Amino acid sequence: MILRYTFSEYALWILTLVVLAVTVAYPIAMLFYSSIVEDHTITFAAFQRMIKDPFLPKVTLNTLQLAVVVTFLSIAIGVPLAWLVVRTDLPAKNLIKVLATLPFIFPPYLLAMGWISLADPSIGIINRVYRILGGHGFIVNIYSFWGLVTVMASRFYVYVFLTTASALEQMDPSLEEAARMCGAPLSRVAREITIPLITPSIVAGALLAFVATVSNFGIPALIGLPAHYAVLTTVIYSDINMYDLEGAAAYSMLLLAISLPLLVVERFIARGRRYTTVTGRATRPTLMKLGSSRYPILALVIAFLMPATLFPLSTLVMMAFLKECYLNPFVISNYSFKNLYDVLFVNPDTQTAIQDSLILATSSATAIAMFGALVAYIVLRTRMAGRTLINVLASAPFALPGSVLALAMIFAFIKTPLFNTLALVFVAYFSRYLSYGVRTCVGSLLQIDPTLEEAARTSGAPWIRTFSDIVIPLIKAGIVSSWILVFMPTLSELTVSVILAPPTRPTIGKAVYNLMESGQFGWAYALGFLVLLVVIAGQIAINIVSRRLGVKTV
Amino acid sequence: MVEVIVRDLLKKFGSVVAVDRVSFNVKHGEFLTLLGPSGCGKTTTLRCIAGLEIPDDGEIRIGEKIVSAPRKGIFVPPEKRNIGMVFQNYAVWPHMTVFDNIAYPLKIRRLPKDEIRRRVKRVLELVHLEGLENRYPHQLSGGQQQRVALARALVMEPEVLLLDEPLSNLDAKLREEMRFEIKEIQRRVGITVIYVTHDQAEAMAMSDKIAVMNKGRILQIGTPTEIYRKPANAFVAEFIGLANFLEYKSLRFENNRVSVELKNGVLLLCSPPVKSSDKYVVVVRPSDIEISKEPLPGSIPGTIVKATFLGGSVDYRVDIGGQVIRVESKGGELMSPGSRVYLVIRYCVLAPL
Repeated sequence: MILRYTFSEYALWILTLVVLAVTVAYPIAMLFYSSIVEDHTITFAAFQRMIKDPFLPKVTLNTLQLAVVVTFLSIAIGVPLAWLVVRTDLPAKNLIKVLATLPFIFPPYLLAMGWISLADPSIGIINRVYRILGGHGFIVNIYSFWGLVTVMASRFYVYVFLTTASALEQMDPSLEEAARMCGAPLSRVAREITIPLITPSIVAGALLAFVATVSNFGIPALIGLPAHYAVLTTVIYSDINMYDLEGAAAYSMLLLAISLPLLVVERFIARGRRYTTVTGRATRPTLMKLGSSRYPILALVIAFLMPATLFPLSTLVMMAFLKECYLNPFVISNYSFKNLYDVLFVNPDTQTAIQDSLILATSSATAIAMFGALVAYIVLRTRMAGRTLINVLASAPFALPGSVLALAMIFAFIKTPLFNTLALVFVAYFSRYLSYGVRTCVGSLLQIDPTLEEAARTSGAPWIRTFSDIVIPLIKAGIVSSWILVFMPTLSELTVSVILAPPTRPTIGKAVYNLMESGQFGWAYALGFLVLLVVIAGQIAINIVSRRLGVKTV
Repeated sequence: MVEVIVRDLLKKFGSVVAVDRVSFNVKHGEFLTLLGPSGCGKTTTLRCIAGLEIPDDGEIRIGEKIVSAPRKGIFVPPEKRNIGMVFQNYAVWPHMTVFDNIAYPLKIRRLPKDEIRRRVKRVLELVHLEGLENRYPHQLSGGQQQRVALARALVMEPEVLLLDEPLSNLDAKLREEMRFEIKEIQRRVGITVIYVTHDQAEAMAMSDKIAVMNKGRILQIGTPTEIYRKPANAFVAEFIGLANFLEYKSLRFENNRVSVELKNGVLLLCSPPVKSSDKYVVVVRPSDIEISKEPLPGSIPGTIVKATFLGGSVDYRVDIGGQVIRVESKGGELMSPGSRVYLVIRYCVLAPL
């Protein structure tokens, strides 16, 4: 525990507060200020717009309708799947776990592109097969309400799956065993013990799926807009594009009014959950025997998971290598590395995009890894004033939908030279992904006993040497993983970049989006394929880091 | 020469007073143990001396230097106090080898390399860890990690060594072994030690002086014998070893004796209390009672209620007319419940309530 503070400690403390003020507090404050104040008078302009806008009820209804349907589908898929994986003797569980969580590691717009390559009326593989077989027109159209629902549910159900699976894993099996000893048959145990105990976790996962659906931009932008299905995030985007910042602010307020209360409820449930069903014991629940239906159920699960995850990703790869997107995908000679070569070595736009995104991702990952470790240390290990404020500020932007954060950045920096530069994109990335770095470092710091630092102090090391000799080496794994965890999403980030990046300097995400909009699918998919590769490589790196550098606690 | 002086030390956590105006001195080369139940403030006191907690009031002096005096605005950070400390969970750094762990305090002080090597080697011999320099902590047993922590605290040859329940994570056999080893090292190095424990046997075996603490206050400071033979109050008597509290009818103070008339009319001659008070209890250790089948001069008759065979001794509960007391008998034949017995109290003392 750090005691009296030296000059260097105060300097770092002030630096932390200043950085958070500029990148987090000021933009968020400006967002609210600008929705209320106009030309120094309180006009509630954004809210007046909200009341008068004839388009608004329709958009709100669209958003809520989509989120409700996606959430119900997520529960319907996520809960039974979690139960099968955790509580039954289903074979090949690890494979199923990987398949089920696979969509989660990719940016949503990449999945949307996958589904477009699968079910676009003209270039979609399904419809082409249909036409090759003699059909006319198309049989599936991804640009529809149900198309949108399918893509979103196939990614966001993972929230419900993960929270339910972890609740089932951590539940004390003796709670169920006690009910059985009382004479309850298995069906009653499930109904009266298991389900009530995991309900909070299911609700928490469902809330996360709901909020993710209303906050997401990539999928409704690529699939909803062509379907003329507008939601809040896409309207915010088009309003900003038309310089109607007031309108964008009105829709942002509405979006926050929906998402923030739900996130608060989710936090509340998640906190309560920690104290109820989680016990530290490593006992394994008894697995339910599926008997002769084991393999039929496995086949069913795989038949469901393959189209939900692997098919769109494979057709995405096919599109990246198809010379022209309208050529027959079943003829080998139609494939080449041309798109990939163009994207990497010929097309100056994609080349700068790749270069810019690499610089942005590297710099924001490095900045966040360092700053995150500092924030985690101040919050957990010192008794400095403003610790709670620092903690709240560092995690606040994570609760904002990307389009709302981008709007806040516009309001905050529109009159500065930062506006319309990649530097502002960096600030926005830093703000948006800072909580990844803080949470990861908090996690590793929590595993380290404070006496390890105290021992260094009593050995004669001042705090700054304690930090560099003891703390940094011990949370190395956390710092490296937070670097990768920030690098991956920032490299392919879409929402913030599409709004903030200057038109002449698009990032990878914005370049992909522009190419998709203008129908240059070959290049779009080639770039998407590169993102896919980086994401997979990053995921492997994370696994290696956490296994190799995992802190050995004594 | 006095090495550590603690005066009116006060430490609060919010509204909870953890250390309530504690004062004591530790002489050069002395082994003082802070003994008490968990939450009594002993560890907080030690951490205040180490500089790991900021006291709210009082003064702490190490050697000639005032290291903490909130009223004068003095607070020396832990790294400038030149003390060695051993933590309950060892706090051996998992990312450093045994050598690097022990050499760390010397590296901080920028000693030349060969000097560091020489001193680490010497201290490794002292704690019997020769040949394990290049091991990592996770390759060591609990007892070996404990020795590394001890070596690290000793390597810079500090004037004062602080130990915070260092043996409580070890198994019983190793704990006993380490007790003697720590005591032996202390004697050889001649270092001043402040030791924190809740284990009274450990405190008895190692300390020159024991300070018994409860609820943030020191109840008694003294040599192990003083504390055991002349407890300052009933709490101390009960915390240090087993004790029977006998009720009495009347007391008569004589020169350096007190004659006590028990409820059942038996007369006893007891040692006087360390402090006078208006209420006392008579403290009798179960091992200070002799038990026999035949009446002896001045013996108290009683009936055995319960007998528990413990191997080296027998633990009896004896009813002496309304009160059941505990008697520890070494050897002799095992008597069964219901037997008529006679007790002779060899030593008793009055303790203020």
